[in-house]
Amino acid sequence: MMSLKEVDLLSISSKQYVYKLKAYSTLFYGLLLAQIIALFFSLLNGISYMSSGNGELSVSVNTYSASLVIIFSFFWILFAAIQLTTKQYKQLENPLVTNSISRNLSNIGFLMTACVFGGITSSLVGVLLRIIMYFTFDRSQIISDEFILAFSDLLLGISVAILYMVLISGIGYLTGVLTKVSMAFVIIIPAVIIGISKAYTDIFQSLIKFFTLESSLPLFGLKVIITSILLFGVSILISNREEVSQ
Amino acid sequence: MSRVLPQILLFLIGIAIVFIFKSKSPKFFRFSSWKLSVLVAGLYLGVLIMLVPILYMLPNKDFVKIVENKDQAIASSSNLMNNLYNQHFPTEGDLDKLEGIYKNSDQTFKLDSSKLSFDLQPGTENYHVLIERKELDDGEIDVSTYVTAQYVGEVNFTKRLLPPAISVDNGMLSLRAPDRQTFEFKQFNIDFTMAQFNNQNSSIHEMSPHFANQIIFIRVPQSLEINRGVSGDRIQII
Amino acid sequence: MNVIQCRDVTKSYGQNKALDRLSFEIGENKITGFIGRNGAGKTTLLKMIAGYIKPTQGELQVFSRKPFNNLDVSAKTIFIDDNMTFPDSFRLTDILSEVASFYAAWNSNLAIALFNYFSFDPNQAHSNLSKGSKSTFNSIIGIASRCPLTILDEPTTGMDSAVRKDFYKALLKDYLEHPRTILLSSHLLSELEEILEDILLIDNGSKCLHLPVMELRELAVGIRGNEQALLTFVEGKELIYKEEFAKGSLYVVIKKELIEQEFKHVRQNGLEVLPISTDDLCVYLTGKTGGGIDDVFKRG
Repeated sequence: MMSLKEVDLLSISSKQYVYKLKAYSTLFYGLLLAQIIALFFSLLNGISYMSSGNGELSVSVNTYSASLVIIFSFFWILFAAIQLTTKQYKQLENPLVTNSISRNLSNIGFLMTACVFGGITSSLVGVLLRIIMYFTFDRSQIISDEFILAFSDLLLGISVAILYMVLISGIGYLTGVLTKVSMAFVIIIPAVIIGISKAYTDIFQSLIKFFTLESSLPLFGLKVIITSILLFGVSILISNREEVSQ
Repeated sequence: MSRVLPQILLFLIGIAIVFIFKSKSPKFFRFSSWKLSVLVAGLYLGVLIMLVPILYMLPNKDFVKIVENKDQAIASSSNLMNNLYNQHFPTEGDLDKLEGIYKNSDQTFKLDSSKLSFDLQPGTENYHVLIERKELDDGEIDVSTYVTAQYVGEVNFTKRLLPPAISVDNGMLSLRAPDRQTFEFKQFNIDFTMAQFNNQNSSIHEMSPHFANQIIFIRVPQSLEINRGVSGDRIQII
Repeated sequence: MNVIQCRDVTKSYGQNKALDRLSFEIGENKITGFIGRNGAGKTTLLKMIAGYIKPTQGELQVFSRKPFNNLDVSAKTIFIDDNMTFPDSFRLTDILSEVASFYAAWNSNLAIALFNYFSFDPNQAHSNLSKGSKSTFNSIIGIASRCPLTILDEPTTGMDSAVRKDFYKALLKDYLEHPRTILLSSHLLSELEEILEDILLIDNGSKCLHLPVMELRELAVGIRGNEQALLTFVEGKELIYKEEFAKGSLYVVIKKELIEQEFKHVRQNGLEVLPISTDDLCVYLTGKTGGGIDDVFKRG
């Protein structure tokens, strides 16, 4: 027999990771499109408009924000995470040296890279939005307050966006894996979500508030990381016994 | 309803984007080689990163600055208005010292008559006219106009308010409000990802306006005869 | 040492048994053809060996390990079929260089030489290839990977005959220089025969026979002649196949060993002995007509 040294999981996973970075690179165009559309919407009419007046004067305030760009990027990572679990994408791994764990690890690696890229770009589009506003709007109308972006805030925004995207990609990935196990989950998951949100509004809201109302960054990071490890861990366990589809 | 609607709309747009990509991604996107995609992604990221120093290099002197003494300015403004209603009249020196009160014009007219009557034109109903007699007869009328704090949100734009047009002719002082002024502001809210950890619970700031009051302070020669006329209730003689 | 050991392997999908108590062993560095009709279970078996699916019952070992979800087995195995897909963002040359990094024994010179020989356009996307070109391209990967276990499931689908011949030649040449275990599946044996050493005939999820091709060639003969004379001659013997090819004339296929002693009587009875192609034999063996196949092999 030809002697081949035993392969190790980590080197195969990282080879797959590199392969997937290249293979799935076209997913990037989705992010680009989502961010450009969001930028366009943000620029077009801002997020809120207030107008008021008395006999002598009227005053109006247009509020702008780049938050929409981040929200659209969240949609993108959710979609990308679900897509990685689809048959179409899994088939791409068949010609490679792989097992279930290596394919999951490389998928997670790819998603983390996408989260970092998405988090950085979505936060930086806020900078682009400010610059476009600077050159197209009457500068004497711009309220300096949050228009001037503290560099520390930018870094904060990037890290929080990345963390949120990691969390969302974990949710998407687990959803995808569950639906792969049984198509019944396609119906069950939304039914359960709607059911819970109808019957126990509090549980659902407190689940969201668990993350969105956390005002300490280290705690938030810890919550997101632990939850994501759970989400991805369960995904790996579930998909470990699953046969390769073709 | 108005809070829910945009969220639903946002959700629908998100879903739509997902489906556009799921169903028929354009050929260019599907078959674009990985080298091109990585290049475009790298360029995109590079350009965005380059924008950061550019943003910090842009001069910001033109912007509307926020000076954080809003509460005090509004308090002293309403205090002043209360005093006026209660017939406690300030001196001109008091007005100059009050925080939030801004003198936006100062004129002196030669008097060509021994009597002074008033012509308060429509639009000046909210103006408070205070008349103080000088200690001498110099034949001149000094008119100063003051405006109390004018805010929208945290933005103080009192100084941008135009003073009324004042003229004295044949013993008649006429007061005409400036043309209706419109002010537009562009506010930027930081991303919710930053706001969550910035002690800013609500990402949309209250932008409620606080409107200014106009005070016209007139100093007249000691012996001038004053005829307050039809709108005399708005004219106070100290 | 055996590369593949298969004991009583069953694979069921619900009530349906794709493989039924299949047992066989495949030795190192042999080229084995997996022959069977459509739906016989060839692909299921090959996928199981490649570690894509797991047996419902029984034990399957590849390189002394259970292949399902096993990274070591996966590293030594490549499975080529026409369902192979590659990212649309990869050009054909990208695929060759990207896949290369996964296989220790990959020979890029060979891959490029074959790629050029079959005149592929380096900048084409895999999904835009015609069926035949796709098969050819996938086979290049199969050959160039030089995996200790190379599995080619219907590798020639869509190829024209010139390309098929070239492909078999290339496979054989590279095999001779770098021996490895190769599994080839096809429902057509005739063109494979030249390069196969062993043959595993599968019928309805069960092993029909597993023997060297040389033995298969000698396994049976066809006898043609007058119906009466022929029926008398073969009376009491198990027939693999029987066909009335003209009025009063009969053609039968029979195991050679059954008529060894009476061989000289054949001519005397005016019967004609014909060699039978392995291809036809396989078709007869797995056919529903002719009857008594189970009996034939119980005795054999």
